[in-house]
Amino acid sequence: MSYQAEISRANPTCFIFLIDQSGSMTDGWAGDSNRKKADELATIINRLLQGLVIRNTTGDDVKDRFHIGVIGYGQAVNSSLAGPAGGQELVPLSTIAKNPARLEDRVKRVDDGAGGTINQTVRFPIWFDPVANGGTPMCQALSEASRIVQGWLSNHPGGFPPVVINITDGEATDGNPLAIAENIRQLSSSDGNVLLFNIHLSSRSAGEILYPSDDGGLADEYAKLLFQMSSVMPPKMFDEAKKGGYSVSETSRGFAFNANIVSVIDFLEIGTRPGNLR
Amino acid sequence: MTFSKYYLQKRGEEASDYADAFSYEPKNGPASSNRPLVIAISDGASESAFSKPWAKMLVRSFVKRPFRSVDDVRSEVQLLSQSWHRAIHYRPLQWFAEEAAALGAFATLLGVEIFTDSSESIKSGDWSAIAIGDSCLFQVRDDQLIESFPLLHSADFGNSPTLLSSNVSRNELVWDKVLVRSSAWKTGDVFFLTTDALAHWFLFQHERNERPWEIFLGFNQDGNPIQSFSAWVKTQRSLSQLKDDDVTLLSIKL
Repeated sequence: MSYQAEISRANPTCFIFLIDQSGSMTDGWAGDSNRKKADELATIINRLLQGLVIRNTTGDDVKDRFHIGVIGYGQAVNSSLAGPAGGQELVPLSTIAKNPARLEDRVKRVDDGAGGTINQTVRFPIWFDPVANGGTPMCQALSEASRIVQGWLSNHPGGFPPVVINITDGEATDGNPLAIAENIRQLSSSDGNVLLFNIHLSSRSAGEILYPSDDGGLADEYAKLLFQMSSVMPPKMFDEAKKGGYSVSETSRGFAFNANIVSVIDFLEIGTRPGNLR
Repeated sequence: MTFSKYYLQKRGEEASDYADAFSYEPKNGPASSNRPLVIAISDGASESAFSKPWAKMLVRSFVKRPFRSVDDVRSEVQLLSQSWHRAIHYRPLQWFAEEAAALGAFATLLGVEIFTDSSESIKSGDWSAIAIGDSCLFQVRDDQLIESFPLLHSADFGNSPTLLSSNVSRNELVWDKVLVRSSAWKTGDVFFLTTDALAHWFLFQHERNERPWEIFLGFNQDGNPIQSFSAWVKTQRSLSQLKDDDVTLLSIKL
């Protein structure tokens, strides 16, 4: 059985995010010219990191069950983590937690404990600001991810397989990324193949699509290509997605069109998750 | 009566990361008095923050003043939740600790009272237990498992039990799931209280016609029980027979 390895500090896994920072990311998102794709991307990556950190917070500490890499691709292809984590390919999650670029105050409506809600100011961590510059060297970014994943696998041959999440508007300018994606998905630990998920941020106003099992409803060739590049969700993640109320099938892929897959983190089992916390 | 306690943190973690908790009274065992033996065990959820202090508060509170009904648990948890908040928020927290604390801490609770009659030679008595979550009580008599509470089968363990939260708004789903049980004991009986990983192992073995209690009782007979327990846990984990989780075993032979 694959994807059974426990994700723990003794047996960590890694997440590699590939973020499209090309010039076309200044275009409007989902048919709205006032919302740029680059802004949406920054929101997604910041939320993904925030969610991962909180899920692994045990108190004053964050458990390093995950190591994180972020590769930006646009004018250049390089590690995009700033601060003390800057320049490193993979960083323990606790380092990410303690080093956001800044904390912004945001007002959030929270439960007041008496059946109502109140406005509360919370500190929201920002690691990434929107960047949009240059071409879309997606093939190069995937090759870089492949290299980092191979290094990780040689040191963690029995661990939960690395997860690569590519967030893009889909238009690679350095060739067809399909074969490289296929190569990444063929890499494996003894617990299963590397998972490659894609989030397609499109200018089209087509509605959001999450975890589809075929490319029938997808709006364009870029979306179809990214769907093809994406891994089928492992059974355990599929079960969790189903429990979480998502409409998924056994052939659903880790692909989102104009939608956020922050929920994908929730599909990974990393310990006892209280039933009444969902 | 012999009382033994064994515990070990997850693989690759520090002893200070151990987030199960247990407590009992009287400390020198029931033979010294007619007071009941009160024991509690709790498993702080690994996916919630500050669950270790929450688990400790729950077991200490139970041992001090055992709760026997849903209403008891409800009113006690309300008070404990306030203590937990004071204990966490006495200093500024980093952003992630603050966010995680707002979600609340979560833990199981299994509380057991073993009553003795007041006669000079105590040979029997009653016991009662209350449970929230998947920490388990097993009673063994004459080489037979006669009680398994609150879970009966290894398949009953899941990854997301409903747990007691320090965030009282999360407890509405809990009250229907508080289970109570009482029965009797007699001299020679053995009780085990364990958190989920060992409880799952115990029931799984029993379903295969094994006598898992012999393994648990064997630790006491070893020259170095603690070391013997730790070595056994590590071996079972490496063989994937035992989930890699904090483990706690309290063993009471009457």
